[in-house]
Parts: sequence; C-alpha cells; structure tokens
Amino acid sequence: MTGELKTLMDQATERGTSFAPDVTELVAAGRHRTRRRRVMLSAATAVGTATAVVAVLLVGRIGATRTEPLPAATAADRPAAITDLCAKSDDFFRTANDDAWRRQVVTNWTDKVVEVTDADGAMTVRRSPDGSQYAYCVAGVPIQGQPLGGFGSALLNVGIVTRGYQIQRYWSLACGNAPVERSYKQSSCRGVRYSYAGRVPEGVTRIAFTGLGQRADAAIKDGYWVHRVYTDDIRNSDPDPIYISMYDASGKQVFKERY
Amino acid sequence: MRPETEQDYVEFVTHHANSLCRTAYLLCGDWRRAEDATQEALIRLYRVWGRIQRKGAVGAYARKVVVSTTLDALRRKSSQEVVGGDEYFANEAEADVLGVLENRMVITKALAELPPRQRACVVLRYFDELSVDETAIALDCRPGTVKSQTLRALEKLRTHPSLAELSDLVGIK
Repeated sequence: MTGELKTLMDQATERGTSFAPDVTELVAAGRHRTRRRRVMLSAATAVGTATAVVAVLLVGRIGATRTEPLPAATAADRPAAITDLCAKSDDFFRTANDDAWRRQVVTNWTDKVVEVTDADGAMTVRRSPDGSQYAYCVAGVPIQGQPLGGFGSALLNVGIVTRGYQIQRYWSLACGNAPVERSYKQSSCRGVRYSYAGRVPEGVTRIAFTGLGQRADAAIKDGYWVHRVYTDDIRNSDPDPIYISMYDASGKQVFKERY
Repeated sequence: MRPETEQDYVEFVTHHANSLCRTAYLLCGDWRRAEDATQEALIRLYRVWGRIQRKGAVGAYARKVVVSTTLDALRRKSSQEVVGGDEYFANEAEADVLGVLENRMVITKALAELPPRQRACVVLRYFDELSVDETAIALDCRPGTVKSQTLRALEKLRTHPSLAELSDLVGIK
C-alpha cells in the first residue's frame, strides 16, 4: 500500500503553479526579526540587571520603612482595558497572540488609516509611529462597562510576505443580532460577526461583499479597507456563503474568493 | 549574516520552498495555509541559518519547522479562528465536489481524517520518504512513537471507505 500512497500523495500535491516566495522579502523579514530579537534580548538583560540592583537597595530599607495606607484607586488611576484584537499581516503568527504587542499598538499606534464603527465596535487599520508597519484591529463598544471585541483572528489569503490580496478576518459571537461579551460561552447562541481588513491591491478601486443576505462595499481609505458581515445564525453561511470581490476602475472583476 | 551565508539561504529557499509547501499542504489540506506556514517557517529558518548550516542539517531542520508551523496553525488557540476556519480542507471541501472522484481528493480526504501526528507520520514517511529516525527528528519524538503512529495511520487508511473504492488499492494488505 505504501507505494500507492506515495503516488496518491504526489498526485494530490500537483497543481499548475509552483510555490516560489519572494526571497528578497523573506530575507528582509528574517533580518527584521533577527534585529528585533537582539533588541529585545538586550532590553530584557538591562531590565533584569536594573531590577536586581533596585531589589538589593530596597531590601536594606524594608525594616526602616513603614507602609503608608494607599488611597483607593480611582477609575482614572486604573490602566485602560485593552480590548482591541490586533495582528500584523506580515507577522501574523507572532502578533495575533502577543498581548504585550497588542497593548503597545493600542497605546502608541494612534495613527488610524481607516476606521469604521458600528454596533459591534470599531474595525481599524493602525499605522506604526514610524509609518513602516500596519496592524489590523477590531475593538468593541462597552456594554455594562465591559468592552467587547473580536474573539479571534485568522489569516486569509494574506501571505506573510508576498501575496497581493491581503485579507485578515476576525470573528466574534452573538446571540441573535445582539453582541455578547468576550467571556460569553453559551453554546445556543449561533450569531457570528466576521470583521475583515486588508490592503487594497494595486489597481483595485472597489471591494464588494456578498453573502449571509447582505451586499455592501468595504470602506476604503489610503490603500487599506475594512468591512464587517454578520449573521444571527452561523448555519446561514451554508446556503449563502460570504464572497469577497474586487474590481478595478473600469468595473472589471479582478478577484473573487469565498471566505 | 555574511553575504555568502545569506546567498546559501537564498539558494535553499529557491530550490526547496515548493517541496516544503507540498508537505505542508498534505498536513493541512489548504494551499493558502500551506504557503503561509512555509513562508513563516522559512523566515524562522533565516534566524538560525548560520548555526544550522554549520551542523549540516538544513533540510531536516527546515522540514521540522514546516511541520511544527503547519500543525501549530491547525491547533485551536483562544485568540484564533474557530468558526468555520480551522478544519482540514476548510476552503476546499465544498468547492470541488467532482474532485472527490479523483484520486487526489480521495487521499487528501483520507488524510484529513487522521489525527495530525499520524497524518504527519504518513506524509513524512511515504511522501517525503524520510526514515523512521529522520521522521522522529522532524516530529521531535522517539522512533518508537513514529513506528506506532505510522502503523495506526496505515491501518486506518487501509480501511478507509474512499481508499477501499480505489481499484488499485483493493485487497492490498
């Protein structure tokens, strides 16, 4: 059987095109990560050393110091909750699960290239302070003091480095058409919100969404786009799946995929 | 990285990216995910390229990173997609109904029903034609585990209804 397996698997992986990533881009991404890792290691070493020095100095003073009662923390004192889910299209695997990076983006990447707000919150493409990087984020409106947000994200046809049609999707749950908080786990709620973001490919002037009974164009600005599609029942995606179509200035369709 | 070392990396990527991507495809069943996982693995490989090259185990390490990156992407995480997106063949299952009749779909469907580690054993052993020891290195486990996982996977494939319908596999023990 194993001989046939080899043949069958060879057949299964045959396709018209050969995968050939842009090596220049790969090298550039590799260099960037190597530099960043060195910087982080240096910073961690410096912080560790400083912490150790401070700890040694404090140990000598503990006996002489009387603890003063602290005033009750006010709302203004508390750090703002970071509810945005963000990820970089060209470094998705690391950033999508990095809370520290996410907090840094929400705090420091204040340049919003494009943002759309609806009942579920905001979808935003943020630009880094030096203008060299972009992050796709979703954030939620507060309900009873607890902000909502996407539950997770997926890389869709993004290509870490090379692919032209960058699309990133976040999702969050809902009960019918009512958004629910992140911690909500009730399995009977089948509503889903899909939030999409991406870079507008060269030559594309319109990005249209169809599916789940909805037809609408994505919001485009400065080369980036965002859009949200929702359904009160995930099972609706069986008869009416979501398609993303892109058109050029002459109205010709240049891209269509099911997501 | 020195220019000549970097040139070696470029040549490796040029010649092996497609092969690694095919392995990734058999592990995840989706060309887009396979390409993303392969690119991610190649970027990770860049960082350790000098060290791995000195050890002379570039190919094995690259395959190991591709396997782990692909399987990691299939694993559910709290902040990643879980609705309709993390299944094997999420994007192709309904798009190619006629293709089910073709051999390529038959084997990929059968692979999809194997647990990820068993699937990886079959792909590495019989598609990449690695030895038991090489597969164990790629999967970061013991050779005995590779043997047992492969055996279980082959038993499941032998009894898989789609494969049983293939004339050239009928009766094969």
